[in-house]
Amino acid sequence: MIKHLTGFVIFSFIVGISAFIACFFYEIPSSESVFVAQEPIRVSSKRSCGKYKKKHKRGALTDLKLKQAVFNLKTKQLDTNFVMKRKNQYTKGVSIGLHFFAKNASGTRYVATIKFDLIPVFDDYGVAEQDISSPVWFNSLEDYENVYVVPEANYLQNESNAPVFDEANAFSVITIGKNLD
Amino acid sequence: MRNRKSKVRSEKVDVRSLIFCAVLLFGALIFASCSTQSSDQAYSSNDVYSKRSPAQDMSSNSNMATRLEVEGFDEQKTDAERYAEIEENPFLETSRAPLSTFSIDVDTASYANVRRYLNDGMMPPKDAVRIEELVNYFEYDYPQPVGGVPFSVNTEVASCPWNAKNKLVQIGLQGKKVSLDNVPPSNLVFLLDVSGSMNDPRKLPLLKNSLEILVNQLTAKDRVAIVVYAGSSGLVLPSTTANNRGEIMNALNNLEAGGSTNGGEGIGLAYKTAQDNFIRNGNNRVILATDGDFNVGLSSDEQLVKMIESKRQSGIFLSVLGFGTGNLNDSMMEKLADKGNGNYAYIDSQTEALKAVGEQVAGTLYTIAKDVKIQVEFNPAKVAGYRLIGYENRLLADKDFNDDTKDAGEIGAGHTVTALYEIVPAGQKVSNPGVDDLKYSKVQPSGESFNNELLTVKLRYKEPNETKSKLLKQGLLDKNNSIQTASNNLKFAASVAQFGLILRDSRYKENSNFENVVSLANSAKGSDLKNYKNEFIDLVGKARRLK
Repeated sequence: MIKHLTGFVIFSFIVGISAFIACFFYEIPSSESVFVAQEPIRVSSKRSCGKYKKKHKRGALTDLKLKQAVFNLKTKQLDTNFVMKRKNQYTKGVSIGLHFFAKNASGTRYVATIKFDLIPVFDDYGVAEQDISSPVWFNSLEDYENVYVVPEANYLQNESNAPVFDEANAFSVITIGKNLD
Repeated sequence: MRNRKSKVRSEKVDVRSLIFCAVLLFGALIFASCSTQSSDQAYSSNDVYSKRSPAQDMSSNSNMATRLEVEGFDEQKTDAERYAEIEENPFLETSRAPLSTFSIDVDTASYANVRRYLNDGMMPPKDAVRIEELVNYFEYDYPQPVGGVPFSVNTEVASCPWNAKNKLVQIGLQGKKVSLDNVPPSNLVFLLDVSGSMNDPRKLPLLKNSLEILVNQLTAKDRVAIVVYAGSSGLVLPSTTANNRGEIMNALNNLEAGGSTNGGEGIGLAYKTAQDNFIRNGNNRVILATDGDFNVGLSSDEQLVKMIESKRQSGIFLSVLGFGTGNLNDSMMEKLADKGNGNYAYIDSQTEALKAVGEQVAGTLYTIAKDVKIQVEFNPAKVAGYRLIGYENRLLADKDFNDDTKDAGEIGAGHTVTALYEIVPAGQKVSNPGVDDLKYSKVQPSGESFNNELLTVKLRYKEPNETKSKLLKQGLLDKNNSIQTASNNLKFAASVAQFGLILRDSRYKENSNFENVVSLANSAKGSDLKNYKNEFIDLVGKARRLK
């Protein structure tokens, strides 16, 4: 019995090591249909699984700036226009988060966060401009509250810390009122 | 005896001749001193441009007459140009008046007129300087709108370049850009002044060139008619499709200046022509081109304004193009364009014609939002006082903001509108001469209440074919930015506004000077592909040399 268990453990160890070593040599194939390559696709250099995943998802953008953000309280529709700058030469997708806050007489309260996964088309300077329209469901906003959004480049949804109101990077949202008309 | 009589007679003759010579000499001295005094006063008196009747203006503005006569202009039109007196907006305390409400304005005539003065080697009269029109002359890098709104709203705050203790707030609107292919069909009636005063190279010939540029932008879906007015008025060209360019240009080129100016009859005919060819859901517009000598009789100005307002209600708008010098009735033309839901541009050169009716024609032809009003509520915990720079003749009562029956300005496709407020931060005293301090209404700044929110901007606008307005709202945070780190939009607008304050010799100009204007403009002009901003910097240099 012990021999069988030992054999099983050794076998599992060998399989696991083999799989681990295989990550250095083989790239996980992706769905080519949703990505339009700007340049010829090359096999990436050898990396550990953990480091590869980190560089692919995080740090793809160096800058994210909002140019317009309009929220229609009647239709619950958010329309935004923003500009992104990429860091990596071969970026298959980026993740951005938009953290919404409202200001009232008591101070600033957190409203919601919206995450977008995008495949932007960057120009030769690594800059992309994007319009996004999306339905959103915010907690109820009071008529006198103004809404601000703090954009976050390379956003990971499972981040445990609650977003902090970064006043320096906060952008004013234009609201089309419901009860104000 | 005879000798004695002849001696007496000769003595009388000598006395008479002496008196006669003395009178001649005295008269010559008086005449010489009057001529010298009128030319010395040419560039210094501002009293001439106060709000008075045209008759008073005609008699008292001899300084302009002197210069025009020297240059060989029509002697009949040597009375001065007319500008409505502007009383600058003062600083207001937020505790007394937290709301500021005004109508937007897309006119640019004042900048072109100021440019004309400076290029002619003269300082403009201060009432000719409307700072909002100087600022609005330039394009800014505002983003295009999203979310179905016809214009984007952009706000920013930084330190004030002419008063380091204060801040400067910019509110910028960018109208949606529309290709001419997507503009509704136009029914245009050109109402042209062909009176004797238009007989000048900078008037009728330039007018014809300008309209040729405009007509070349139109297509077969558009219609054009030409009505002229002088001693009498007439329909020179019945409404015809715009692709008949030969016929239109023939009619224009055959126009000659002559006669007096009977504008009232002409404008009635122009509106009738527009009504007879009305295009439903199209752009129905009378375009008035004149040097401003729009004589409809002193008792008929009110009737003229009422007629234009009633035609506006029926969907026929009025835009105005001003030309020439010497008798420019700037105040009347601005008023007509305002009441007619149109815009007022001054054409001083071929280049300006290419801008106003060439590259910006879509803005003239296609209104994307009408009755656009702005109301700003300032946070008394952050703002002790504020001053709206310009827009003196666009102010509205606070209750007018929510009143859809109150008329306001229109935004055309591609137009930008910029408004600037100078802010006195909380904790500082607001200069309010002649008014006692309040004792019951003192507001203590609170760091927590809407912390760091300076103000809320609200805007109301109507879609072109609707009567009910829509409301937009946006807050503005104070990030303690200095003017040096502000955007190029704010820096350049601040530079132009500062130039306007200097030209007006404003009591609020504080530390404004030409060097600061040039330095700020140079740091913010960007690529300036059309060279308008470089031209502005040159004009500042001219003004500095004249001053």
